Amino acid sequence: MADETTQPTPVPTTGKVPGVDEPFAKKSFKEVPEGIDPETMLFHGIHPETKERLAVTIEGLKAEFGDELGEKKYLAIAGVGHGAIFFNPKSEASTYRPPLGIKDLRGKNKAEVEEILAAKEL
Amino acid sequence: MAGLPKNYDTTTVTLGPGDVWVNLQLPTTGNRPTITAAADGSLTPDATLSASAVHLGMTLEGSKMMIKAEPELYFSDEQAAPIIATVTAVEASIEGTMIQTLDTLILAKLMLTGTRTAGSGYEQLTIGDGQALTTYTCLVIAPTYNDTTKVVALELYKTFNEAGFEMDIGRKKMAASPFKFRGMSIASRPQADRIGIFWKTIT
Repeated sequence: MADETTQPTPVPTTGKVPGVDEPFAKKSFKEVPEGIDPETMLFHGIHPETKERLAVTIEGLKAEFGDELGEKKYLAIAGVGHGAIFFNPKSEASTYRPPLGIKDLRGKNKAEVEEILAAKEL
Repeated sequence: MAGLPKNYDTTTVTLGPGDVWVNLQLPTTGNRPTITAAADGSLTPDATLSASAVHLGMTLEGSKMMIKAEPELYFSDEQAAPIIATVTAVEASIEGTMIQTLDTLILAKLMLTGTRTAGSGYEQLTIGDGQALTTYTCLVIAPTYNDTTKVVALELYKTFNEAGFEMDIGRKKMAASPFKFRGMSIASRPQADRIGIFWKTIT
């Protein structure tokens, strides 16, 4: 008669298995507010290596400056040059809020945007 | 006298798949959105400048860009042919049929009155009936057939999906939904740069 082999007794796990015992959940949904890159933890539009601000997004500015001031800053930047550079928020009757590439701005428009970003209130 | 040379140039013929992106960077007047190579080498909107962009993923039969100016013709009683022609309407669109119908980030861009939320264990879109519609930038970009390090692209500055969202659920049919992003005019930008920009990279 062959030796009986014993099966190892399963060790009960205390933790839950994602996807089996509980649904998958991305950390970014729980911990990182909208407007912040979950990998770099930098605000949207800021280059991860140079730390230079190349663009502004409504989510990024809200995360950085708060909902009210962030939106004010976005609308002020969108309207630089009376709207001829990006668009005039006052005459676009919609929720149009695209990311604005500010890296190509030159001269007084660039200075105006830097002033808006530095302002503590608008 | 000499004749003119013919313009038979296969480097200006293009062929091959492209990609559609929504809510990418709105460039300053006179500039193009910044395009950067992704990890796999493909050319995409820059991750920093277009941080909120959404890729529409795979399509059923590719995408189609359309720019069409509608002329209005004026005649005189004395002439048989029109004596004046003016542009009275400009239509621009990017359209196709997307198949990643379970990607709620994409669906949020296709449903004009949809609002997306996500949490632990779910992603959802609530459908509202508000009057205002949400508009986005939209880009179709494709590497050129002659040189895949170069691209041909069209960005429309302000669009909305006028095709709605239609999705089949069936045993013998892959779920797919048409999209048609209609280009609108941004009145405050210079007249020559209000709807969008079409370009190809050369160097």
